[in-house]
Amino acid sequence: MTCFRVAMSYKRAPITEAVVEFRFAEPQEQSALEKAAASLKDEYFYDEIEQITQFQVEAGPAIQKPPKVEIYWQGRKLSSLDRADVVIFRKTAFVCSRLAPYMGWEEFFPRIQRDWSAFRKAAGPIEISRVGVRYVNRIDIPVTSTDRVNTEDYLTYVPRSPETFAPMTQYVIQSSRPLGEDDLQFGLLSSTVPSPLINTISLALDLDVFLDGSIPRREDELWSLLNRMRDHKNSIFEACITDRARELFQ
Amino acid sequence: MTAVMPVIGRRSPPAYTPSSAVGPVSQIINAQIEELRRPSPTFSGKAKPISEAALEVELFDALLKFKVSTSQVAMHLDRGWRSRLFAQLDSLLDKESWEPLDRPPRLESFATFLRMIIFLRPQRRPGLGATSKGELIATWSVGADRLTIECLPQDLVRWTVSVTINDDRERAAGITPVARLKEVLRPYGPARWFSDGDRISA
Repeated sequence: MTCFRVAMSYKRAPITEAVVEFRFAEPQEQSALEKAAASLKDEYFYDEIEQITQFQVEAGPAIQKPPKVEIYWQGRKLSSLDRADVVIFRKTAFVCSRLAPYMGWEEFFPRIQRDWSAFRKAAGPIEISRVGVRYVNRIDIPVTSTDRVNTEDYLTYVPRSPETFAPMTQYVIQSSRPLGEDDLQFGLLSSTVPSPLINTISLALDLDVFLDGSIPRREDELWSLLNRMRDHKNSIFEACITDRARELFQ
Repeated sequence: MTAVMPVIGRRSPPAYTPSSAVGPVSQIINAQIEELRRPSPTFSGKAKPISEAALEVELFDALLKFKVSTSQVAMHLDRGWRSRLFAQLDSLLDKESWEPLDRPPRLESFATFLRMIIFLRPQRRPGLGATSKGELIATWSVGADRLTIECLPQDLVRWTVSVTINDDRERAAGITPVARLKEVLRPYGPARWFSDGDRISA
């Protein structure tokens, strides 16, 4: 995949969330996750526990036992005062996220390195089974009451319908495929989403570049891989949008 | 051509849910749709503050939700404007200044507030308050002229104006969808409240 245009930088980037996720080959000890979170307590304002709650109800002719409720500790979630910077230490994964406004890879990447380093110090050598770089974009298109939005005017990854059909009210399409470089794959999702703005139609474009298996063990190689994945993500994004969409981000 | 129908002046309809089916293929499709709807890890988990006080928990929870909601439209807000809004919210939802019997503002009310602010694009920031029932209130005052907007769920607002026009004092009030607010306020010269001050545009 080499025909994509060069990535551009936008004044109003449509990124609602940028995520880097490392999944672990084996679940990690809670103590290591707690230690990593504690070592970053000065970097984040909020510190929360992630839990999974399971309800078990026995169905039968007569309910004899009360529902069984079990709560499992899943991880720790740290976030900044404005809630835009997030890191999650889970037994099964390390997740570093940035919500809008996205301030660029130059700010995001060092935080990923710092927080991963804190985790490595607490947990020791870790085998990573999957690396993902995911960017969720939302394209907000102003409309008037008489407008119909042609999705092709803004996105190149859209559903096709027979000409005789009425306009869609909602859609969602998803695909995944090999990228053709670095053994990478990418998932692509395009959908309508409820717009947070008045008189606006919003389309989501969700890109997830990932590598399953064969993850570098050396950190310098891991960071190099991550940078390449980010470049691929940018190229895919540019391939999926039109100039009319680009105008909305200026 | 693949067209999408706009939904003007109100929130989009509920997400599409397919008709029920039980076959193996339909179950796979259902699972895929459920997977698509799952929030990313950032939005997962239940916020659990350290304090045990119920009010503090509610205020903490409200502040968390407001900031995350704001992040979703942050590309449409000036960075400084957003920072000052967060400072206002921090102050508004501070437990030391909160009346114990009052309910924290609801997320639905804050969502209407955000959509209204981005729709109106006032250059001057409003003062913020809340009703005891949990509705956010935005106020603009210039001298004796005052505009108060109570943000209700589902993009509805209850507005009141008190202005002097041609030496006569006028008062008016109403409930209207946000999308009609510009037209409704036009006779009262809203520029007197909205112009100057901090920019909102990103």
